[in-house]
Amino acid sequence: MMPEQCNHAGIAIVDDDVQLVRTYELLFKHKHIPVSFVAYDGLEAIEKLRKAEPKPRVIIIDYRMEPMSGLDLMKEVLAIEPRTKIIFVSGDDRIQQESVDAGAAVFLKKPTGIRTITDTVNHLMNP
Amino acid sequence: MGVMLGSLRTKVIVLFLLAMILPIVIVGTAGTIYYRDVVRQTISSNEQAQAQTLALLTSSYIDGAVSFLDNQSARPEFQDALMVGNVPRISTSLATISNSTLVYNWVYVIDSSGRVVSSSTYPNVVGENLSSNPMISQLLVNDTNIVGDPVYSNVTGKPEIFVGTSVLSPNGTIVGVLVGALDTDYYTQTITEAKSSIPDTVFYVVNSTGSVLVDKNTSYMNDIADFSSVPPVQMMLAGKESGVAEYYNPVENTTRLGAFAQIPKYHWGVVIAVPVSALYAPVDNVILPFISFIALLSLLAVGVAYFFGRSLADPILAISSASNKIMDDDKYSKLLPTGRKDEIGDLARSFSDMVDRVKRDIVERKKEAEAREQLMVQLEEKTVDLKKSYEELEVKSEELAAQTEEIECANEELRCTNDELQNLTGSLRETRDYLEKLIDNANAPIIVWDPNFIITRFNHAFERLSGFTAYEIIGKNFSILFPSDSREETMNKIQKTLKGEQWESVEIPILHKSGGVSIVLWNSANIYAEDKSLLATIAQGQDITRRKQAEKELEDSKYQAELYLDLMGHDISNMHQIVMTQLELSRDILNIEGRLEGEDRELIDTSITTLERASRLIDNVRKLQKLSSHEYSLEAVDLSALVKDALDQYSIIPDRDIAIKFSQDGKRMVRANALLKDVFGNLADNAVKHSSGPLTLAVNINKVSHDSKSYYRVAFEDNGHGIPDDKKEEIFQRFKRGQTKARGTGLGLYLVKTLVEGFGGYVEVENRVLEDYTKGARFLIYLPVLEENDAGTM
Repeated sequence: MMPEQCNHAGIAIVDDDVQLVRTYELLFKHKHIPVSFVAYDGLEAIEKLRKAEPKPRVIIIDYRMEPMSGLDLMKEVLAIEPRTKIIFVSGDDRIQQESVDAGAAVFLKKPTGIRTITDTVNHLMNP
Repeated sequence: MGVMLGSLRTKVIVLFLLAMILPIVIVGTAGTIYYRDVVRQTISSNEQAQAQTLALLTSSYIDGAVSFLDNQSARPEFQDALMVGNVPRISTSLATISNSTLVYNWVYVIDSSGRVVSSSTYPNVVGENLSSNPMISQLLVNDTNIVGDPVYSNVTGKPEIFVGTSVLSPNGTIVGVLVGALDTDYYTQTITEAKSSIPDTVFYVVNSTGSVLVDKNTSYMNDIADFSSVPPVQMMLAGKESGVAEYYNPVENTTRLGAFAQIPKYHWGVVIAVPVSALYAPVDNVILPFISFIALLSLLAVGVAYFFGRSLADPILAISSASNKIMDDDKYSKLLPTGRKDEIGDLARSFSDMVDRVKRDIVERKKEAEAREQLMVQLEEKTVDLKKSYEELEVKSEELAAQTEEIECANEELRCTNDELQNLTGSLRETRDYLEKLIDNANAPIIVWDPNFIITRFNHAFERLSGFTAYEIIGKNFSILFPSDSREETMNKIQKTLKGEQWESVEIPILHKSGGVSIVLWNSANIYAEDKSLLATIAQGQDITRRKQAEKELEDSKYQAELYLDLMGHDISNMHQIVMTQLELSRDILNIEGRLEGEDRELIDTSITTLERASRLIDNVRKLQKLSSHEYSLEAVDLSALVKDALDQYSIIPDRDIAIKFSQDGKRMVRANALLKDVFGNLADNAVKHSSGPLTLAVNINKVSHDSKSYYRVAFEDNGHGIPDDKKEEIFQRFKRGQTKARGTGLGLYLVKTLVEGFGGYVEVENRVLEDYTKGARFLIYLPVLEENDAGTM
């Protein structure tokens, strides 16, 4: 099934760990998944999301960020682009239920294997 | 004095009245009714005869009017003038006709074409064509005369009754019509001469439809009023020739007797209506004198009845009154009619004699009774005096005995009290000495202060606590023992003890002589005098300075631990994610490029596996931390389902041949939570780590009893390297490692034990094959069975 042609493409990465963001970029480049933008905190992510054309179809969001938490960022993103699919990642699985209730499509507990990551992203980009 | 209806006098008077007046009233009423009926019959007959007379009179009057017009039309000069159309002659003739009679108001002539040729009174009708008028057209065709119904005339502006007759030529042909308008006023005047002698009588003439032709009330004539609904008119219209009918006239609000008679020749009728009240006037005129006569007769009867009533009843009533006042000699004798010379006088005299005899008898009996009563009173007085004297003697005797006994008891009590006082004084002295020693030497600091906060006692323990001696402190104000920064708050707390509040574990800082501060936990109690006034307050303390420091250090440690755990949960997880992703990515890239050799792959795979173990270690630490902070609650869970979920995750492990034997047959409810799954996950993980080659995991669940409690026992077997006997105890301890080929932290089995004990169970481990630990291990997990009743109360 081809992805929906509605100005949504690629994936965005939001995490305050620069090395982890770079690692995700290398992974998606290797797996031929286009990266729409990367951001290192919530406010930067919202700004880039508003400007991005086409909009990313999937956004990976880390839970622990300052000044805006991953949960608050996710609510803002879904308010701007309700069709965006959110992959919520954290090393603490206590917030799994809370993130899903708030609208996350998938919760991944760190560390997660690249196969799980790429399968999840592909599934969300090509439902 | 009111009238007594049941009295003899009233009855006699009523009887006389009835006997005298009742026959007169009955005869008078019957006569009146009969006379009224006779009068009504007579007047009805008279009125009916008068109506018939008026009918005949009216018929004759109209006949005369028609004959007069016929005669005038037959006059030759009139016929000739009409034939040749000589209008002046016609007009002259009409003037003659009109002036020669009072029957007609005015007359006019119509020629053979139906056109008005001439009029005696109203010239404006001349020239008008009336050939379409039914009466005129009929008279122009047939030689006859016609009396018409009343019609409203535009010429005169009022209803008219026209009479018409054909005018013939000498050879007998009709050359015109002569018409006359009847003068109804004249007719009415004529009829009125024959009116009834009864005042307010009305009469009227109606035609065949009930419309008024003639009425003394001209407004009915002018309106040609419809009287067809009036009962006498209705009877005429129904065909009755004559008769009478009584009816109510709502316009006048009177009831009338209407007599009627038909005029057959002209299909008219005459009605004479008399007010019913006028009919009965003669009868009413007779009734008034009759009633006056009856009233006079009644008064006479009352007088006669009263006289006879008094004569008969009063003597009897006098005897009755005398009997009621028999004890009053004067009134009684005056009331009795003893002077009468008849039978009533005899009765009164006999009654008087009898009363005199009875009175004498009563006087004698009264005197005897009074004498008896006096004797009884004297006897009772004597008896009472005797009784009093006896009772006084008895009381005096008892008092003497009691006083003697009391004196003896008082002596004995005095002796006992003296002994007790001596003993009590000794005991009190001993108790005071003992308490003083107890307070002075107690390990706990004790202090006593009076209501003015002046310290009165200060034991050795307090001396050690504060650095002050009792000599330095006693007599000083309590406040010197508190640091300046908390002195006010502490004194407020102490103030409350004066109001009766007792301290139960109140923390108060105490100032040390050296300047240091100790935290002391205090209990206090007030000491009251017999009159409830406050004597002093005693307080006992416990130095908790070290405990408070330890609590603070523990809180800090807990905070640090949570901080480290949080760091592990986030930052180390991030690091793991980076390393794991990069290792896996490197492995993929090298594999695709064909540059990954056997030992290189092993190096990368081992690194990834180590990362996974580190991640699990962090998970276990976090779960242990949650357990210690009681973050998990207990609930009813299905043990079988959790075991299956845990084992399913180990059914496929890359590069390992793992067989799982477990049959999930039915629910087995225990009281636990989702962490129970980690118990079996850690056991499976442990088996995988401590085995090489094909691995079999066999799990079965049984219900067993132990110490009268029911448990589910989960037997978890593996065919791994096994656990030596001397290590079986250690593997469940924290940071201990079993002696196996694989390396591990051992925290997983510690978590298993901690979790199971948290769920109220326990864990055992044994060899899978008896006395050969190398064949694998069998872990036995015991969890209390949750009965249905227990589940309902959770």
